[in-house]
Formats: sequence, structure tokens, C-alpha cells
Amino acid sequence: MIEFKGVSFSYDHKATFNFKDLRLEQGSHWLILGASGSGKTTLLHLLSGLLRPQAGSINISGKDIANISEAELDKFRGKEIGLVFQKAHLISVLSVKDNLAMAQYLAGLPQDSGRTKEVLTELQLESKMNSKPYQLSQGEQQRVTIARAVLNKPSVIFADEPTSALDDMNTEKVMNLLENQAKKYNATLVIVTHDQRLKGRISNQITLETL
Amino acid sequence: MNLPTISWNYLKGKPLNTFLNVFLLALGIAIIIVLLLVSRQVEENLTKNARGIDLVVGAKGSPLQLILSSIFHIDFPTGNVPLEEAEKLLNHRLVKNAIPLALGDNYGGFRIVGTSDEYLSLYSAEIDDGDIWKEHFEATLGSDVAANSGLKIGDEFYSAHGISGGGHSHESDPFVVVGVLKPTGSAVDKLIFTNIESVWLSHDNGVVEADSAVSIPMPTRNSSVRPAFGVRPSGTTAAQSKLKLGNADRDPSIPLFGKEITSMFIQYRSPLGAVQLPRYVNSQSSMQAASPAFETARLFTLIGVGVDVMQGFAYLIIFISALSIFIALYNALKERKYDLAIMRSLGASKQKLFVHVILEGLIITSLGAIFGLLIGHGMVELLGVLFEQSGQLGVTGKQFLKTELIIIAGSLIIGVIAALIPAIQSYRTDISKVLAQG
Repeated sequence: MIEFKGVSFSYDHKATFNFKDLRLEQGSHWLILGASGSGKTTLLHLLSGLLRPQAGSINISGKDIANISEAELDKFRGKEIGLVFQKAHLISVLSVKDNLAMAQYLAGLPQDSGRTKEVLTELQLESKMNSKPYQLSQGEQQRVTIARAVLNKPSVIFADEPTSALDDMNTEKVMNLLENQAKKYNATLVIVTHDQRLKGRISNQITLETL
Repeated sequence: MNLPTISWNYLKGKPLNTFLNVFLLALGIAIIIVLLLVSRQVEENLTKNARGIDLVVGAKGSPLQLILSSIFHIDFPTGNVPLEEAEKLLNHRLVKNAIPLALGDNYGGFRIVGTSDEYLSLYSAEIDDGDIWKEHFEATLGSDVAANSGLKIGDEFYSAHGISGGGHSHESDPFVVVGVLKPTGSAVDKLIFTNIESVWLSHDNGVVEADSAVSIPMPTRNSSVRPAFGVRPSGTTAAQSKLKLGNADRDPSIPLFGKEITSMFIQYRSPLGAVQLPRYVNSQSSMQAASPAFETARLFTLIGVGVDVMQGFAYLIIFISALSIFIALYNALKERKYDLAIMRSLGASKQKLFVHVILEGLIITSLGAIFGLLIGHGMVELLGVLFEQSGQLGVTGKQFLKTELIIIAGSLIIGVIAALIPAIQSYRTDISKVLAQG
């Protein structure tokens, strides 16, 4: 469950974002929509602990991530939050398999190659296990980041414009994967997007208004 | 998967860059190791070889050459001196002992030294097998000679004229090997010992010939010697000390008149000898006196300039390698900022990123240090094996010095310093900003 209460944030104390309170049930799927500059990405970064708010509380799975130490936040993020970005951002010098192993290592979890293989097989990437990211197509790369995001069985999956660089077919694939994986692990899925193609898929929608 | 593996994979991702940085550092370290080992070993070896020898007396010429040829057996002798004149010096009140040397012949490049067993006691050399030389044309071999010449006890060999290999050989009288010495780690190991008479006898004219100088019998200068010297003309049988020409009594059938030796080691009776004897010899005789301690010190100040220049050059290379590591890591940061942000988003703490970048610097410099040590020791070993001269100076790559630990520690510190600024920057990565950019 995600609870968002009285959160305000400002870059350099200029424009301040005051977010509406939110309450997202565990396992529910959400779209966050809004024009550019409406604070979509800011909201996502606050939710995932990449940014820290000036005020308010952000409760994820029983932990107020707005008010814990930085070290604790890093650990929490590694274990409980899966992140997918518009671009794949895989570690280029590591193989697909090692990219996933690194995610386990950095989250402080035991390195389980069985689990890595399981996830890659599920996403039909087992033949690419030893490939380097640059040897993969863009759609494959995005699938690897989804594999990386769900690897540690997080309670929340956040995706920032996961489909805006993909064609219709790949968008369909990636969305199916995200929804299926979230369902499988009963993770709350929050997708930030301005991609109109997604509107029909997820009914829970939050539209942010420009300041 | 752990931090060192991740760092190592980044280095592997840029093999040329990594190779250049490792190579630069290894080169700098190798040069320092070579200088360190060679100068240390040569100095140790020279000191060891010159121990117990206060003064070397020989023909006039370069004092350094006299020392190098008589003690270390690496240069050519300066010439010869009349036995008579040398013998006079033995009776000087400040001379405790004198050991005569006759050089001029070799066998297979190993120098034949005519002397007595007192020469061996200078180096605490002991017989390993057989006996020491006593009769004419009996020879005792240094351990290296025995190992490398193929000569065994009982074998006969002909000496060749000259100090180094390949000279005209004396076909008349063969030497017989009577014994082999234990290794001493000094010049003794590479010498063949016999008595001085044998060296005379193998030369028809009875004059010891030195390579560097045409041997001209010195005019006897008895007349010019001061009475205080207390020496009577040769042939007298007064109870004065005589130089030991070998390990047996002198052969009365060999006339000593006009005979020459190459040089003579002197031990002082008192420290006063250091003050008086060299000046006395240099001014009052046709001979010169050279102090091993002084000459080796002078040699090292001469070489020292070159060593210092090389060392400065090596430190410059190490500095450049540190700079190159810094630039490589610093430039890589730009393209790696997403990687670093992703690593943070996957749960890595700021400290972990800091260590991750420092590790990269450390891995490069550790590799540089390891290869530098290997190359340095390998080069010194090669020097000792390939070049006779350096082999004679006891140069070996198998010696490890404590100073090398300091070099390793220093190179690791360089790694940390070179990576420090890039590491601080990765520590400060603003993940939200980087990830929001795309």
C-alpha cells in the first residue's frame, strides 16, 4: 500500500509542488498522467525515494520513506522498489545475467542464479543471458530492465514513460509484461506517462495539473 | 557479483585504456626496481669484496682501474710492478700484511690469479673438494669456474694469454686442477688460483704480462730508496719479511731478479697507515696506492648522477601514469553517470559508489605494481645472466628488498589519489536529476 500525505517539494525553493494526498491499495495498477512540467517525474522520484520531500510523509508498505536515513532508504529501494525508465540504462560492460546479479548484490540480497534464470526465462530472454546490452534490440533491452525491476520481488513497481520510445507492438509486449509481473508478485504498479496508448489499459488514473 | 568484479568489468570494457595505464605505471616501477636492485647489489658486492683490504698497490695509472682489476676483476690491470719494490713495502712499519697478485692469463675467460692462500682467507673461502695449490702449475678453482668450465680435479688445462677469453694459449706447461673452493658470493668464485711462480713460468720471459700495458721491466730503484725503508738489494738473505708467492716455500731455482707482480693488497698495522702509506707509496716509489673504500665511494658518486637522472625519469613516468588514470576515470564519469544513478536506484549507497570508483584506481595500480615488480626483477636477472660484467658484480633479480614494499604501498596510494576526485563526484551523483534527463 502506498500512502502519500501532505507532500510538498521544490527544486531550489522556486516553484513548489504541493501534491494531493494519495492512497494506492497494494496490488493495484495506476497511471499518472499530466502535461510536461506538471510534476509527474517528480512525483515518481518522490515515491521511489530518489528525491526527498520538504514536508509530508510517503508511506510504502508500512515504511515512511520520507523520514528515514539515507542509508536505510537506499536499502529499502533496492529490496522493495522496482524501477523501469524510458531508456533501458543497463550497465553496458556487464552481461544481461550479470546486470541482474548486480541488482541482487546491490540490494543486499543473496545472489541466486536460479532466480535470475527464472525471471529471464519468464521474459523470454534466456537465450540472451550472456549477451551484452548493446547486442540486444531496444525492446529486448526494455524487457531486461523489467526483469531487473521484478527480480527482487518488490512490493512496488514504478515505471517512468516505459513505452514512449517503443512502437505499438513492443508497447503492447512491455505493458503485458509489466501488468503480468505486477500481478504475479502482487506488486503495486505505478506508471507515469503521457502515452495516450496506455489510457485504455489501466482504469485507475491520476491526472496532475500544471501549476 | 561484488564491487571489485563490477570495477574490473569496467576496466575490461576499455582494454586499451587500462593497458596503457597499467603499462605506464609498470614501466616506472620497473625502472625504479632495476636501479634499486642493481645499485644496491653492486654496492653490497663491492663492499663485500673490498672488506679487509685497506690499500691496493700497483702500477701507476687510474686508481679506480687498479681497484676494479685487482679486487673485483672486472677491468684490465694498470700494468705491473717489480717484485723487489713491492717487497720493500712489506717491511714498512705500518704494513701489517701484504698479499701479492699476478694476473695476465685466463682459461675460458676465467682469470688465473697467482697468489697465496692469504687471498682466500680475506674472503673466508674454504676448500670444497681436493686441495689448495702448492706446487708449480697446480690450480684451485673458484666454485663458478668449477661449475661452468667443465674442469674437474685431476684435469689439465692450458692457460691463455690475456685477461679475458680468446687469447693465444701457452702450449708448453699445462695446469693441473687440484681442488675446488666452496661458493663465497665474492670475486673468488670466478677465479682460478695458482702460485705466482706458475704465472711467471708460463711466460717465457718470466714477466707477468698485463693486457693493458706492454710489460716493461721496471728499473730497479734501490739507489733511490731511502735508508729508512730498511730494504737491502734482492738476493740478500737478511731476516726480512718476504711476500708469499704461493703456498709452498719459494723455489730457489727461479731467479727473482726483474720479476714482476701485478698488484698487492695491503692491510694496515694501525689507522695511521691510512694517513701515511698512500702518500708514501705514491711519492716514493714507481707504484701507486689506491684505497678501495675511497675509490668505490668515488665510483658511486660518478654513477650516482646517472642513477639520479634515471630515477627522476621513472618518477616522472609514474606521475604521468597517475595523471592518465585520473583523466581516464574523470572522463569516464560523464558516460557513466547513468550507470552510477542506476546503481544507486538499485540500492547502492553513496559510499558504495565511492569505493567502486576508488577500486578501479586501485586495481590499475595494483596490476601496475605487480607487473612492474615482475618486469624489474626479470630485467635485473637478465642483466646478471646475459652480461658477464654484471654477473661478476653479483647482480641477480632473485633478491627482494624491503624498499619494494614501500614502492607497492606507494603505488596503491597513487591509485587512491588518482581516483579520489572521480570517486567524490560519483559519491555526489544527483540520481534524480540524472534519471530525469532520460
